[in-house]
Amino acid sequence: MKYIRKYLKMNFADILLTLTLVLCGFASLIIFYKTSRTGTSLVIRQNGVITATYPLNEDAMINISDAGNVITIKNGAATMTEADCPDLICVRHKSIKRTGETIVCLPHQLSLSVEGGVSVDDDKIDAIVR
Amino acid sequence: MILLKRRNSQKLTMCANFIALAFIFSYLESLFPFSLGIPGVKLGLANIITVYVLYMTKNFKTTFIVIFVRIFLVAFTFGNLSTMIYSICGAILSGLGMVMLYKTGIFTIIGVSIAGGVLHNVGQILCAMLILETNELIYYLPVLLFSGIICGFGVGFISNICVTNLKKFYNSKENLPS
Repeated sequence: MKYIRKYLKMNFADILLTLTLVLCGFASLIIFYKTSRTGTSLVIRQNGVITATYPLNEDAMINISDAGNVITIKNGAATMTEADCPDLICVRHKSIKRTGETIVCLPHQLSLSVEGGVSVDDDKIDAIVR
Repeated sequence: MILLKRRNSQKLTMCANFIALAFIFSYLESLFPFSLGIPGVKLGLANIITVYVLYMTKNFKTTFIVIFVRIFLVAFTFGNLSTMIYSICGAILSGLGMVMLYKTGIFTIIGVSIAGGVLHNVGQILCAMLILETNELIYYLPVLLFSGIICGFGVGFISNICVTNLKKFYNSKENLPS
């Protein structure tokens, strides 16, 4: 243990740097969580250009033939169910339903993102009005 | 003249050794895909070599040569070319950041490698945002920050062991490569 600890020595500057980065991480996490809402539509982009938009409240199977990807919308959440890229990172990605959440398939320059939606605060106002 | 030639060939051999090692580490990483379903999260084993080269040779040109040759080799053999641009962006940012932090001289090897790990992820995400024109990718930032810190810490720990012990070895033989 003593032997290992010798190589784990960090000085003040290191700890300051790490703490700053951790704080940045938590701050952005909180900001993103506060600003995200349950989305209403799925936007599909290929090479940075929006090619299609689908509503999230209807179940659907979307086949993108020129990229070989299949997208499934179920219960208001979207997932990439099939892809012919080598790493399959997009297929292993968890389903997305909140605004800003994105699935990217880098080899095919394809990105799915959830957009639009009622903010949590709006929901509350509605509830009070009702 | 003979001395100069010997030093040049020594440099070349050391460089080739480092590149081969970095190449093998990248290969190992591609064999065991450590993926949490988030693009960009990697162990960064090849970064051990980058940090090691930076601290052993103290030569920034050598460090960048090792980084670039490794990326090209990996992309042409077992990566795919379409994602090479992301690796290059991440590597340039992390390389520049590590060299700058190293030059300030107030950080230890662990701090430098943590900064390198985080900057690599940040560079990749910025590049992806530019190419895919999807600003929502910034939502990956927190995850990539944390994974960069953890992996950078591990990388720094391992390269610290290598640098400390191998420096002792080279100093005792008085043939530290530069």
